[in-house]
Amino acid sequence: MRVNEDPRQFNNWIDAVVRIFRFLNSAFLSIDLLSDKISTESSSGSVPAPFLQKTATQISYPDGTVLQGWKLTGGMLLTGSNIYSEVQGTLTVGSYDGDPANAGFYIAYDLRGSVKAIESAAPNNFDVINAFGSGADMQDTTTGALVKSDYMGISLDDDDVSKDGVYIISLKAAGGNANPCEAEVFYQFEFLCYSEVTPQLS
Amino acid sequence: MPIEEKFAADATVKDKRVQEMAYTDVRMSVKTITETIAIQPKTAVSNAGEDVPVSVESKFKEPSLIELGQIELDAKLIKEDGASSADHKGAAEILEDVAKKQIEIKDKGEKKISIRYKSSREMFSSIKLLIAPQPGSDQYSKILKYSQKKIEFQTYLGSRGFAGGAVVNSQNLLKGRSTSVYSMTGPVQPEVKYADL
Repeated sequence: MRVNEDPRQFNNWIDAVVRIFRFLNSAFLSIDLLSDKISTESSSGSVPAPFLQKTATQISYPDGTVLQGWKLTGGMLLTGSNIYSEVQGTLTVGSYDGDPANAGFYIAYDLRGSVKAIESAAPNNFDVINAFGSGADMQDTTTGALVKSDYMGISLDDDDVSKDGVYIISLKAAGGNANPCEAEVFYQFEFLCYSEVTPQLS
Repeated sequence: MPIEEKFAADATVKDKRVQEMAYTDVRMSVKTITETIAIQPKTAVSNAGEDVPVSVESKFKEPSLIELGQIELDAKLIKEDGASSADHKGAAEILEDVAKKQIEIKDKGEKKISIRYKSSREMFSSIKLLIAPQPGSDQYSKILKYSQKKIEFQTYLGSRGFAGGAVVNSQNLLKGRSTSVYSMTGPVQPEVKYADL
């Protein structure tokens, strides 16, 4: 039967097409949220600067409150010292109701990433990759051997009393001995904040 | 694979003498801050595929190719000036190396020429020169705050009784590369707050 012979059939076709487009739109949106698609203006000569993106993580409450996931990703070579504190940017988490006094709410949801270090003390010669966190190996650049880091994590510092909800983010590491240590670090910090709020990096 | 520690031009940490020369030395006609790429995000947030760029007002200015060329030249002149101290010659050579590398990366970036490395280590962060912000600007407040926090947190970590104890910086930070002719003398001088320069 040809569609123009029955208007109801034609409407069914239109409905089906609309549903397919909606599904595809939703699927593409989900892919956007689930994927780490980081575009950068900088040259391919360096890793991208820290990057903040929305995630698919949500916690929904029956009263309508939704906590939305956001993820900060950054990468850096830590080299030249045994103790590091490297600023990764300023994160602003605004207020859910416009009152600055209510700004800054976030829940630390997940912290992951990788730490790549080289073991090159004879006769060894290999790369090791650990999960980001205290204890991850770093290379003692004096001996070439791996050394377990005493501390590795990120911090959010909101001590600027004049600005609510503004955090300075730092990547911190303590190498585990008195010699300088080195590792390539990629971290991902996922946090949740109220769905009315869109956090920003600057 | 031998130990391939990064030298100053590629290290995360920098020496005060390099920081000071870039930021305050009258012989450098383009004053810069020496930071890593992490100081300047390109995107404020990516919200379900929609990227919001960082506001122009809060952005640090990157030196142009001409300015980078001037930095390289000024540093070369300081290095070759017989009256320069060993520390100045060493710091100038490091700055010259940094500028040279940044010129290459920026030039290729502008021409959309892809850069490929043999090792991921080469791609990771190194010192980047950014135009020193004017006092009173948002960027100026930012570098004052960031550098203060960096030193506060380093001191804090060093005081937590870890095996490493106090902050120890690599002696390789005293020169730009393994084949450097000039290097700064004495132990590494940890970088300081910009407010103290």
